[in-house]
Amino acid sequence: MNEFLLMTTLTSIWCSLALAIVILAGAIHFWLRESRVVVTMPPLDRYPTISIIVPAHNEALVIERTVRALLTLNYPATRVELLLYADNCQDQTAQIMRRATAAARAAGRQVQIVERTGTGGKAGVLNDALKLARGEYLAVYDADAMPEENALYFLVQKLLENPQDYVAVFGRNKTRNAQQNFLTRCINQEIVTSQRVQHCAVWHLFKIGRIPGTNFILERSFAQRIGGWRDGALTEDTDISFTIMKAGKLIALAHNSEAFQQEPETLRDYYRQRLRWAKGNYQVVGHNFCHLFDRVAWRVKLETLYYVCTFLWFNLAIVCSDVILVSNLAVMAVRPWFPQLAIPWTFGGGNLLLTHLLLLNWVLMIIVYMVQINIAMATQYGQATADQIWLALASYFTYAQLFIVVSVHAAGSVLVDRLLGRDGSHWVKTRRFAD
Amino acid sequence: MVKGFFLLAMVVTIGLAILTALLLVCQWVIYFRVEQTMVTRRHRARTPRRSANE
Repeated sequence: MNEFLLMTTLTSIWCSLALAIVILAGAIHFWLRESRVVVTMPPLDRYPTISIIVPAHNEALVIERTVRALLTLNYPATRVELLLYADNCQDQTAQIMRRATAAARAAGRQVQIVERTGTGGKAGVLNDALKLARGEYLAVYDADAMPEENALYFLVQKLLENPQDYVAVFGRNKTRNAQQNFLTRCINQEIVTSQRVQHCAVWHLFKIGRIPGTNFILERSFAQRIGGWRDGALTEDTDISFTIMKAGKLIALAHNSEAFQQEPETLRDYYRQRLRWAKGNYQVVGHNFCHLFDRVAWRVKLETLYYVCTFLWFNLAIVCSDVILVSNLAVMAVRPWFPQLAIPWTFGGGNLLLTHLLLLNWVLMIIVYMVQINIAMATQYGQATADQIWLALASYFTYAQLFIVVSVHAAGSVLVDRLLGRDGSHWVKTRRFAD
Repeated sequence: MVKGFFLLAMVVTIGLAILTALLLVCQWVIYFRVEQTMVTRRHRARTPRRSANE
Protein backbone atom coordinates (compact mmCIF):
# COMPACT_ATOMS: atom_id res chain seq x y z
CA MET A 1 0.00 0.00 0.00
CA ASN A 2 2.83 2.37 0.96
CA GLU A 3 4.66 1.62 -2.27
CA PHE A 4 1.53 2.19 -4.33
CA LEU A 5 0.89 5.59 -2.70
CA LEU A 6 4.53 6.58 -3.21
CA MET A 7 4.44 5.62 -6.88
CA THR A 8 1.07 7.33 -7.51
CA THR A 9 2.27 10.52 -5.84
CA LEU A 10 5.52 10.65 -7.79
CA THR A 11 3.85 9.79 -11.10
CA SER A 12 1.31 12.58 -10.51
CA ILE A 13 4.12 15.05 -9.85
CA TRP A 14 5.82 13.94 -13.07
CA CYS A 15 2.54 14.57 -14.91
CA SER A 16 2.47 18.12 -13.52
CA LEU A 17 6.08 18.46 -14.62
CA ALA A 18 5.13 17.32 -18.13
CA LEU A 19 2.43 20.00 -18.27
CA ALA A 20 4.92 22.62 -17.05
CA ILE A 21 7.39 21.53 -19.73
CA VAL A 22 4.79 21.88 -22.51
CA ILE A 23 4.04 25.40 -21.29
CA LEU A 24 7.72 26.24 -20.95
CA ALA A 25 8.41 24.98 -24.48
CA GLY A 26 5.63 27.23 -25.80
CA ALA A 27 7.07 30.21 -23.95
CA ILE A 28 10.58 29.53 -25.24
CA HIS A 29 9.32 29.33 -28.81
CA PHE A 30 7.44 32.60 -28.30
CA TRP A 31 10.41 34.42 -26.79
CA LEU A 32 12.99 33.13 -29.26
CA ARG A 33 10.90 34.96 -31.87
CA GLU A 34 9.81 38.01 -29.90
CA SER A 35 13.19 38.72 -28.34
CA ARG A 36 14.43 39.81 -31.77
CA VAL A 37 11.56 42.21 -32.43
CA VAL A 38 12.39 45.86 -31.97
CA VAL A 39 9.18 47.48 -30.70
CA THR A 40 7.96 50.35 -32.86
CA MET A 41 4.90 52.53 -32.43
CA PRO A 42 3.40 53.51 -35.76
CA PRO A 43 0.14 55.54 -35.71
CA LEU A 44 -2.87 53.20 -35.50
CA ASP A 45 -5.42 52.84 -38.32
CA ARG A 46 -8.06 54.13 -35.95
CA TYR A 47 -8.38 55.06 -32.31
CA PRO A 48 -11.56 53.52 -30.83
CA THR A 49 -13.15 55.43 -27.98
CA ILE A 50 -12.17 54.00 -24.59
CA SER A 51 -13.88 54.34 -21.21
CA ILE A 52 -11.24 53.83 -18.55
CA ILE A 53 -12.77 52.54 -15.30
CA VAL A 54 -10.93 52.73 -12.00
CA PRO A 55 -12.68 51.00 -9.06
CA ALA A 56 -11.21 52.40 -5.84
CA HIS A 57 -12.17 51.42 -2.30
CA ASN A 58 -10.20 53.41 0.31
CA GLU A 59 -7.24 53.92 -2.00
CA ALA A 60 -5.97 57.27 -0.75
CA LEU A 61 -2.39 55.96 -0.58
CA VAL A 62 -2.09 55.07 -4.25
CA ILE A 63 -4.86 56.69 -6.28
CA GLU A 64 -3.10 59.96 -7.12
CA ARG A 65 -0.20 58.39 -9.02
CA THR A 66 -2.57 56.09 -10.89
CA VAL A 67 -4.85 58.96 -11.94
CA ARG A 68 -1.88 61.07 -13.08
CA ALA A 69 -0.55 58.14 -15.10
CA LEU A 70 -3.96 57.63 -16.72
CA LEU A 71 -4.14 61.29 -17.69
CA THR A 72 -0.78 61.12 -19.46
CA LEU A 73 -1.39 57.97 -21.50
CA ASN A 74 -0.06 58.03 -25.04
CA TYR A 75 -3.53 57.90 -26.60
CA PRO A 76 -5.61 60.75 -28.11
CA ALA A 77 -7.20 62.54 -25.15
CA THR A 78 -10.45 63.16 -27.06
CA ARG A 79 -10.90 59.38 -27.47
CA VAL A 80 -10.67 58.63 -23.76
CA GLU A 81 -13.31 58.92 -21.05
CA LEU A 82 -12.13 58.48 -17.45
CA LEU A 83 -14.58 57.04 -14.92
CA LEU A 84 -13.20 57.12 -11.39
CA TYR A 85 -15.24 55.26 -8.77
CA ALA A 86 -14.75 56.03 -5.10
CA ASP A 87 -16.56 52.91 -3.89
CA ASN A 88 -17.83 53.09 -0.29
CA CYS A 89 -14.77 55.09 0.72
CA GLN A 90 -14.17 56.25 4.27
CA ASP A 91 -10.91 58.01 3.43
CA GLN A 92 -9.80 60.87 1.16
CA THR A 93 -9.96 58.90 -2.11
CA ALA A 94 -12.68 61.03 -3.77
CA GLN A 95 -11.05 64.32 -2.74
CA ILE A 96 -7.68 63.17 -4.08
CA MET A 97 -9.36 62.12 -7.34
CA ARG A 98 -10.89 65.60 -7.68
CA ARG A 99 -7.60 67.33 -6.92
CA ALA A 100 -5.60 65.14 -9.31
CA THR A 101 -8.05 65.65 -12.18
CA ALA A 102 -8.85 69.35 -11.64
CA ALA A 103 -6.49 70.63 -14.33
CA ALA A 104 -7.56 67.94 -16.81
CA ARG A 105 -11.26 68.69 -16.25
CA ALA A 106 -10.58 72.42 -16.70
CA ALA A 107 -8.85 71.59 -19.97
CA GLY A 108 -12.00 69.80 -21.20
CA ARG A 109 -10.95 66.18 -20.59
CA GLN A 110 -13.84 63.75 -20.09
CA VAL A 111 -13.49 62.81 -16.42
CA GLN A 112 -16.26 61.67 -14.09
CA ILE A 113 -15.79 60.97 -10.41
CA VAL A 114 -18.54 58.79 -8.94
CA GLU A 115 -18.90 58.40 -5.18
CA ARG A 116 -20.60 55.02 -4.99
CA THR A 117 -22.36 53.44 -2.02
CA GLY A 118 -23.71 50.25 -3.61
CA THR A 119 -22.82 46.60 -3.00
CA GLY A 120 -21.05 43.96 -5.09
CA GLY A 121 -17.43 44.99 -4.57
CA LYS A 122 -15.32 45.44 -7.68
CA ALA A 123 -17.76 43.49 -9.87
CA GLY A 124 -20.54 45.80 -8.67
CA VAL A 125 -18.52 48.89 -9.63
CA LEU A 126 -17.75 47.46 -13.07
CA ASN A 127 -21.43 46.67 -13.66
CA ASP A 128 -22.41 50.22 -12.64
CA ALA A 129 -19.74 51.64 -14.94
CA LEU A 130 -21.01 49.48 -17.78
CA LYS A 131 -24.30 51.46 -17.67
CA LEU A 132 -22.52 54.83 -17.59
CA ALA A 133 -19.68 54.24 -20.07
CA ARG A 134 -19.98 55.53 -23.63
CA GLY A 135 -16.73 54.27 -25.15
CA GLU A 136 -16.55 51.41 -27.66
CA TYR A 137 -14.24 49.61 -25.26
CA LEU A 138 -13.90 49.52 -21.49
CA ALA A 139 -10.41 49.65 -20.02
CA VAL A 140 -10.03 48.58 -16.39
CA TYR A 141 -7.21 49.68 -14.11
CA ASP A 142 -7.09 48.91 -10.41
CA ALA A 143 -6.40 51.87 -8.16
CA ASP A 144 -2.85 50.68 -7.54
CA ALA A 145 -2.10 49.78 -11.17
CA MET A 146 -0.17 52.66 -12.65
CA PRO A 147 -0.04 52.10 -16.43
CA GLU A 148 3.11 52.77 -18.40
CA GLU A 149 2.42 55.61 -20.87
CA ASN A 150 2.03 53.31 -23.89
CA ALA A 151 0.00 50.61 -22.12
CA LEU A 152 -3.32 51.53 -23.73
CA TYR A 153 -1.73 52.07 -27.15
CA PHE A 154 -0.37 48.49 -27.14
CA LEU A 155 -3.71 47.04 -26.03
CA VAL A 156 -5.53 48.80 -28.88
CA GLN A 157 -2.77 47.93 -31.35
CA LYS A 158 -3.29 44.24 -30.57
CA LEU A 159 -7.07 44.59 -30.72
CA LEU A 160 -6.94 46.07 -34.22
CA GLU A 161 -5.15 42.96 -35.52
CA ASN A 162 -8.45 41.08 -35.35
CA PRO A 163 -11.32 43.12 -33.87
CA GLN A 164 -13.89 40.51 -34.92
CA ASP A 165 -12.52 37.77 -32.68
CA TYR A 166 -10.63 39.71 -30.01
CA VAL A 167 -13.32 41.03 -27.68
CA ALA A 168 -10.78 41.58 -24.95
CA VAL A 169 -7.05 42.28 -24.82
CA PHE A 170 -4.90 42.14 -21.72
CA GLY A 171 -1.42 43.31 -20.88
CA ARG A 172 0.91 42.48 -18.04
CA ASN A 173 1.48 43.85 -14.57
CA LYS A 174 4.87 44.57 -13.09
CA THR A 175 5.56 44.77 -9.39
CA ARG A 176 6.24 48.38 -8.48
CA ASN A 177 7.42 47.62 -4.94
CA ALA A 178 9.54 44.59 -5.89
CA GLN A 179 12.62 45.66 -3.93
CA GLN A 180 10.79 46.23 -0.65
CA ASN A 181 11.62 42.91 1.07
CA PHE A 182 12.12 39.15 0.52
CA LEU A 183 8.39 38.58 0.08
CA THR A 184 7.93 41.24 -2.61
CA ARG A 185 11.04 39.98 -4.44
CA CYS A 186 9.53 36.50 -4.50
CA ILE A 187 6.16 37.85 -5.63
CA ASN A 188 7.95 39.75 -8.40
CA GLN A 189 9.61 36.54 -9.59
CA GLU A 190 6.32 34.69 -9.48
CA ILE A 191 4.51 37.41 -11.44
CA VAL A 192 7.24 37.76 -14.06
CA THR A 193 7.29 33.97 -14.49
CA SER A 194 3.52 33.59 -14.71
CA GLN A 195 3.20 36.42 -17.22
CA ARG A 196 6.31 35.84 -19.35
CA VAL A 197 6.04 32.04 -19.34
CA GLN A 198 2.45 31.01 -18.54
CA HIS A 199 0.44 33.75 -20.24
CA CYS A 200 2.70 33.99 -23.29
CA ALA A 201 2.82 30.22 -23.80
CA VAL A 202 -0.90 29.62 -23.37
CA TRP A 203 -1.66 32.44 -25.82
CA HIS A 204 1.03 31.34 -28.27
CA LEU A 205 0.07 27.65 -28.24
CA PHE A 206 -3.71 27.71 -27.84
CA LYS A 207 -4.85 31.35 -28.27
CA ILE A 208 -6.18 31.21 -24.72
CA GLY A 209 -6.02 34.36 -22.62
CA ARG A 210 -6.94 35.05 -19.01
CA ILE A 211 -8.12 38.51 -18.10
CA PRO A 212 -6.16 39.81 -15.15
CA GLY A 213 -7.81 42.15 -12.64
CA THR A 214 -6.25 45.17 -14.27
CA ASN A 215 -4.71 46.54 -17.50
CA PHE A 216 -7.15 45.10 -20.01
CA ILE A 217 -9.76 46.31 -22.49
CA LEU A 218 -13.11 44.69 -23.21
CA GLU A 219 -15.67 45.47 -25.92
CA ARG A 220 -18.51 47.34 -24.19
CA SER A 221 -21.31 45.92 -26.34
CA PHE A 222 -20.03 42.38 -25.68
CA ALA A 223 -19.87 43.01 -21.92
CA GLN A 224 -23.48 44.21 -22.06
CA ARG A 225 -24.55 41.13 -24.06
CA ILE A 226 -23.12 38.73 -21.48
CA GLY A 227 -24.67 40.67 -18.62
CA GLY A 228 -21.46 42.15 -17.23
CA TRP A 229 -19.56 40.76 -14.29
CA ARG A 230 -20.89 38.16 -11.84
CA ASP A 231 -21.72 39.98 -8.59
CA GLY A 232 -19.91 38.48 -5.62
CA ALA A 233 -17.35 36.51 -7.66
CA LEU A 234 -14.09 36.35 -5.67
CA THR A 235 -12.06 36.33 -8.86
CA GLU A 236 -14.28 38.25 -11.26
CA ASP A 237 -11.49 38.29 -13.85
CA THR A 238 -11.22 34.48 -14.18
CA ASP A 239 -14.98 34.22 -14.14
CA ILE A 240 -15.47 36.61 -17.07
CA SER A 241 -12.60 34.96 -18.98
CA PHE A 242 -14.57 31.71 -19.00
CA THR A 243 -17.72 33.54 -20.11
CA ILE A 244 -15.85 35.10 -23.06
CA MET A 245 -14.38 31.76 -24.11
CA LYS A 246 -17.79 30.08 -23.85
CA ALA A 247 -19.07 32.67 -26.32
CA GLY A 248 -16.38 31.49 -28.76
CA LYS A 249 -14.43 34.76 -28.60
CA LEU A 250 -10.76 35.34 -27.81
CA ILE A 251 -8.87 37.22 -25.12
CA ALA A 252 -5.67 38.39 -26.79
CA LEU A 253 -2.35 39.05 -25.11
CA ALA A 254 -0.54 42.35 -25.73
CA HIS A 255 2.72 41.48 -24.01
CA ASN A 256 4.20 44.96 -24.44
CA SER A 257 1.39 46.66 -22.53
CA GLU A 258 2.57 47.17 -18.95
CA ALA A 259 1.13 48.50 -15.72
CA PHE A 260 2.94 48.82 -12.40
CA GLN A 261 1.01 47.22 -9.58
CA GLN A 262 1.58 47.20 -5.85
CA GLU A 263 1.96 43.81 -4.17
CA PRO A 264 1.46 42.86 -0.51
CA GLU A 265 4.45 43.67 1.67
CA THR A 266 3.54 41.59 4.69
CA LEU A 267 2.91 37.87 5.00
CA ARG A 268 -0.53 38.47 6.49
CA ASP A 269 -1.70 40.66 3.59
CA TYR A 270 -0.20 38.25 1.09
CA TYR A 271 -1.94 35.31 2.72
CA ARG A 272 -5.33 37.02 2.74
CA GLN A 273 -5.02 38.04 -0.91
CA ARG A 274 -3.93 34.61 -2.08
CA LEU A 275 -6.56 32.87 0.01
CA ARG A 276 -9.22 34.93 -1.79
CA TRP A 277 -7.68 34.11 -5.16
CA ALA A 278 -7.44 30.41 -4.35
CA LYS A 279 -11.04 30.30 -3.09
CA GLY A 280 -12.11 32.17 -6.22
CA ASN A 281 -10.30 29.65 -8.40
CA TYR A 282 -11.98 26.74 -6.59
CA GLN A 283 -15.31 28.51 -7.20
CA VAL A 284 -14.44 28.75 -10.90
CA VAL A 285 -13.53 25.04 -10.96
CA GLY A 286 -16.87 24.26 -9.30
CA HIS A 287 -18.86 26.42 -11.73
CA ASN A 288 -17.15 25.03 -14.81
CA PHE A 289 -16.46 21.39 -13.90
CA CYS A 290 -19.46 20.24 -15.96
CA HIS A 291 -17.79 21.62 -19.11
CA LEU A 292 -15.37 18.71 -19.06
CA PHE A 293 -18.27 16.53 -20.15
CA ASP A 294 -20.71 18.73 -22.11
CA ARG A 295 -20.54 20.28 -25.58
CA VAL A 296 -18.67 23.53 -25.23
CA ALA A 297 -15.79 25.33 -27.00
CA TRP A 298 -12.57 23.28 -26.78
CA ARG A 299 -10.70 26.17 -25.18
CA VAL A 300 -13.14 26.10 -22.25
CA LYS A 301 -12.59 22.35 -21.87
CA LEU A 302 -8.82 22.76 -21.96
CA GLU A 303 -8.86 25.64 -19.49
CA THR A 304 -11.19 23.74 -17.15
CA LEU A 305 -8.96 20.68 -17.37
CA TYR A 306 -5.95 22.85 -16.53
CA TYR A 307 -7.67 24.32 -13.46
CA VAL A 308 -8.96 20.93 -12.29
CA CYS A 309 -5.51 19.32 -12.68
CA THR A 310 -3.67 22.19 -11.00
CA PHE A 311 -6.01 22.85 -8.10
CA LEU A 312 -7.20 19.31 -7.39
CA TRP A 313 -4.94 16.58 -8.75
CA PHE A 314 -1.48 18.19 -8.66
CA ASN A 315 -2.12 20.00 -5.38
CA LEU A 316 -3.15 16.75 -3.73
CA ALA A 317 -0.03 15.02 -5.08
CA ILE A 318 2.23 17.76 -3.70
CA VAL A 319 0.51 17.65 -0.31
CA CYS A 320 1.00 13.85 -0.22
CA SER A 321 4.68 14.17 -1.19
CA ASP A 322 5.23 16.80 1.52
CA VAL A 323 3.59 14.53 4.11
CA ILE A 324 5.81 11.63 2.97
CA LEU A 325 8.95 13.76 3.13
CA VAL A 326 8.21 15.30 6.52
CA SER A 327 7.17 12.02 8.16
CA ASN A 328 10.28 10.23 6.84
CA LEU A 329 12.55 13.05 8.02
CA ALA A 330 10.87 13.07 11.43
CA VAL A 331 11.42 9.34 11.90
CA MET A 332 15.04 9.66 10.74
CA ALA A 333 15.61 12.45 13.26
CA VAL A 334 14.40 10.41 16.26
CA ARG A 335 15.85 7.07 15.16
CA PRO A 336 19.14 7.40 17.07
CA TRP A 337 17.06 7.28 20.26
CA PHE A 338 14.39 4.87 19.03
CA PRO A 339 16.22 2.44 16.69
CA GLN A 340 13.21 0.12 16.53
CA LEU A 341 11.24 2.72 14.48
CA ALA A 342 10.92 1.89 10.81
CA ILE A 343 10.98 4.59 8.13
CA PRO A 344 7.32 4.72 7.05
CA TRP A 345 7.59 5.47 3.33
CA THR A 346 10.16 3.42 1.42
CA PHE A 347 10.47 1.06 -1.52
CA GLY A 348 11.99 -1.52 0.76
CA GLY A 349 15.04 -0.86 2.88
CA GLY A 350 17.53 -2.30 0.40
CA ASN A 351 16.41 -0.36 -2.68
CA LEU A 352 19.18 2.20 -2.45
CA LEU A 353 19.58 2.62 -6.19
CA LEU A 354 15.99 3.80 -6.59
CA THR A 355 16.37 6.11 -3.59
CA HIS A 356 19.44 7.73 -5.15
CA LEU A 357 17.73 8.00 -8.52
CA LEU A 358 14.73 9.77 -6.97
CA LEU A 359 17.01 12.10 -5.07
CA LEU A 360 18.75 13.03 -8.33
CA ASN A 361 15.33 13.45 -9.91
CA TRP A 362 14.32 15.90 -7.18
CA VAL A 363 17.52 17.92 -7.57
CA LEU A 364 16.92 18.14 -11.33
CA MET A 365 13.34 19.27 -10.75
CA ILE A 366 14.62 22.07 -8.51
CA ILE A 367 17.09 23.08 -11.24
CA VAL A 368 14.31 23.10 -13.87
CA TYR A 369 12.22 25.28 -11.50
CA MET A 370 15.12 27.72 -11.20
CA VAL A 371 15.89 27.75 -14.92
CA GLN A 372 12.22 28.37 -15.70
CA ILE A 373 12.28 31.46 -13.50
CA ASN A 374 15.53 32.61 -15.07
CA ILE A 375 14.15 32.20 -18.58
CA ALA A 376 11.27 34.46 -17.56
CA MET A 377 13.73 36.96 -16.09
CA ALA A 378 15.89 36.85 -19.22
CA THR A 379 12.95 38.04 -21.32
CA GLN A 380 12.93 41.28 -19.39
CA TYR A 381 15.91 43.57 -19.80
CA GLY A 382 17.87 44.06 -16.59
CA GLN A 383 16.10 41.35 -14.55
CA ALA A 384 18.36 38.35 -15.24
CA THR A 385 20.90 38.79 -12.46
CA ALA A 386 22.84 36.41 -10.20
CA ASP A 387 20.71 37.58 -7.26
CA GLN A 388 17.60 36.29 -9.01
CA ILE A 389 19.15 32.81 -9.31
CA TRP A 390 19.77 32.59 -5.55
CA LEU A 391 16.38 34.06 -4.85
CA ALA A 392 14.78 31.37 -7.03
CA LEU A 393 16.54 28.69 -5.01
CA ALA A 394 15.50 30.22 -1.69
CA SER A 395 11.92 30.72 -2.87
CA TYR A 396 11.59 27.03 -3.79
CA PHE A 397 11.94 26.03 -0.14
CA THR A 398 10.02 28.96 1.33
CA TYR A 399 7.72 31.06 -0.81
CA ALA A 400 6.65 28.27 -3.20
CA GLN A 401 5.64 26.08 -0.23
CA LEU A 402 3.25 28.82 0.92
CA PHE A 403 1.14 28.09 -2.13
CA ILE A 404 0.42 24.63 -0.75
CA VAL A 405 -0.66 26.00 2.63
CA VAL A 406 -2.93 28.55 0.94
CA SER A 407 -4.42 25.93 -1.40
CA VAL A 408 -5.18 23.49 1.41
CA HIS A 409 -6.72 26.27 3.52
CA ALA A 410 -8.83 27.49 0.57
CA ALA A 411 -9.99 23.97 -0.34
CA GLY A 412 -11.02 23.33 3.27
CA SER A 413 -12.76 26.69 3.50
CA VAL A 414 -14.73 26.16 0.26
CA LEU A 415 -15.71 22.67 1.43
CA VAL A 416 -16.93 23.94 4.81
CA ASP A 417 -18.81 26.80 3.10
CA ARG A 418 -20.60 24.24 0.94
CA LEU A 419 -21.40 21.89 3.84
CA LEU A 420 -22.71 24.63 6.12
CA GLY A 421 -24.38 26.64 3.35
CA ARG A 422 -22.19 29.62 4.27
CA ASP A 423 -21.70 32.59 1.93
CA GLY A 424 -18.00 32.31 1.13
CA SER A 425 -17.86 35.25 -1.23
CA HIS A 426 -16.71 37.82 1.30
CA TRP A 427 -14.28 40.10 -0.57
CA VAL A 428 -11.10 40.90 1.38
CA LYS A 429 -9.44 43.97 -0.03
CA THR A 430 -5.67 43.90 -0.44
CA ARG A 431 -3.99 46.45 1.84
CA ARG A 432 -1.98 49.20 0.12
CA PHE A 433 1.33 50.69 1.20
CA ALA A 434 2.80 54.15 0.79
CA ASP A 435 5.27 54.22 -2.13
CA MET B 1 5.63 -3.08 -10.03
CA VAL B 2 8.63 -1.47 -8.32
CA LYS B 3 10.85 -2.61 -11.19
CA GLY B 4 8.56 -0.94 -13.72
CA PHE B 5 8.56 2.21 -11.60
CA PHE B 6 12.35 2.12 -11.44
CA LEU B 7 12.51 2.11 -15.25
CA LEU B 8 10.03 5.00 -15.42
CA ALA B 9 12.06 6.97 -12.86
CA MET B 10 15.20 6.31 -14.90
CA VAL B 11 13.57 7.58 -18.11
CA VAL B 12 12.18 10.69 -16.36
CA THR B 13 15.53 11.47 -14.73
CA ILE B 14 17.50 11.12 -17.95
CA GLY B 15 14.86 13.22 -19.73
CA LEU B 16 15.12 15.89 -17.04
CA ALA B 17 18.92 15.97 -17.29
CA ILE B 18 18.74 16.52 -21.07
CA LEU B 19 15.97 19.07 -20.66
CA THR B 20 17.97 21.03 -18.08
CA ALA B 21 20.88 21.35 -20.51
CA LEU B 22 18.53 22.45 -23.33
CA LEU B 23 16.80 24.99 -21.10
CA LEU B 24 20.10 26.53 -20.06
CA VAL B 25 21.05 26.99 -23.72
CA CYS B 26 17.65 28.54 -24.50
CA GLN B 27 17.98 30.86 -21.53
CA TRP B 28 21.32 32.18 -22.78
CA VAL B 29 20.03 32.63 -26.34
CA ILE B 30 16.99 34.60 -25.13
CA TYR B 31 19.14 36.64 -22.74
CA PHE B 32 21.59 37.68 -25.47
CA ARG B 33 18.82 38.41 -27.97
CA VAL B 34 17.00 40.65 -25.49
CA GLU B 35 20.27 42.50 -24.76
CA GLN B 36 20.95 42.91 -28.48
CA THR B 37 17.42 44.12 -29.18
CA MET B 38 17.67 46.70 -26.38
CA VAL B 39 20.93 48.03 -27.82
CA THR B 40 19.27 48.37 -31.25
CA ARG B 41 16.21 50.01 -29.72
CA ARG B 42 18.29 52.55 -27.82
CA HIS B 43 20.23 53.33 -30.95
CA ARG B 44 16.97 53.99 -32.83
CA ALA B 45 15.54 56.00 -29.95
CA ARG B 46 18.02 58.77 -30.73
CA THR B 47 15.71 59.79 -33.56
CA PRO B 48 12.57 61.75 -32.43
CA ARG B 49 9.53 59.58 -31.68
CA ARG B 50 6.03 60.35 -32.98
CA SER B 51 3.37 60.37 -30.32
CA ALA B 52 -0.17 59.04 -30.88
CA ASN B 53 -1.45 62.33 -29.47
CA GLU B 54 -0.03 64.18 -32.46
